[in-house]
Amino acid sequence: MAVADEPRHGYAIIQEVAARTGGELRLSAGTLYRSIQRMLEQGLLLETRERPAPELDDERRRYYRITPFGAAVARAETRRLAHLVRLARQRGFAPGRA
Amino acid sequence: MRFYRLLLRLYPAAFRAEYGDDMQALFAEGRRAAAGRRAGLLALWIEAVADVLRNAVPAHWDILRQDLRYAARALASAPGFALTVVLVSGLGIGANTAVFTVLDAALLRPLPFDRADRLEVGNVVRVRFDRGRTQVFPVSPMEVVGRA
Repeated sequence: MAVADEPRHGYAIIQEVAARTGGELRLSAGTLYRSIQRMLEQGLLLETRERPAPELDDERRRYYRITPFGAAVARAETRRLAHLVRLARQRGFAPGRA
Repeated sequence: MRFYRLLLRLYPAAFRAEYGDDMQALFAEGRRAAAGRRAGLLALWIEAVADVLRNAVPAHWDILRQDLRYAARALASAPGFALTVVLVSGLGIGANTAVFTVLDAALLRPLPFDRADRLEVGNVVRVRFDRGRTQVFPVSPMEVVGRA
């Protein structure tokens, strides 16, 4: 999801995830690059040549973006989780209840 | 930074070649962010060591699994070749096992009784008598025991 709207490099992904989760989730380097490696193998991500303007760029950085297949998988996973949350609510596991 | 590079050596070489520079750059960013704060630097190092220890073994496992999957796919796509490989490997392993079993029993393993180093080879004694007559006598076990 962190690379859904624009290509990002590793450090930017860590910052994006931390910002979106209010600092609750801070990816470590090992966790991040193992995830990137796995998602590249599975075709969910792509290393892209699209780069920001040279004054904002560091040529050593590598940028990743989501693939159409990755977006489809993310949508399917969102549907699955939404269904799970709906079931949990029906069972009385709504937030705020015991 | 040298210590962090050493830590990264715990990852598989392929993973290090692909992501080692990026991970060092990330660590350098963290160091810049924590510059001047001793507690921040200490936390960064603890986090870095824990991160490597937590992820290095799974990264090795990821690569092994990837290799095994590739091997299985390659073998499945050429069943004749796969069967030949299995047969040749089986024959090789079987022949090695047979040879080792014989060598182990004949040369390596001690004989199944006490004082095996005092064992003598039984033989015969040929005695020539005065009138040209010769006679062969077996060396009896009693004689061997007597000489020992």
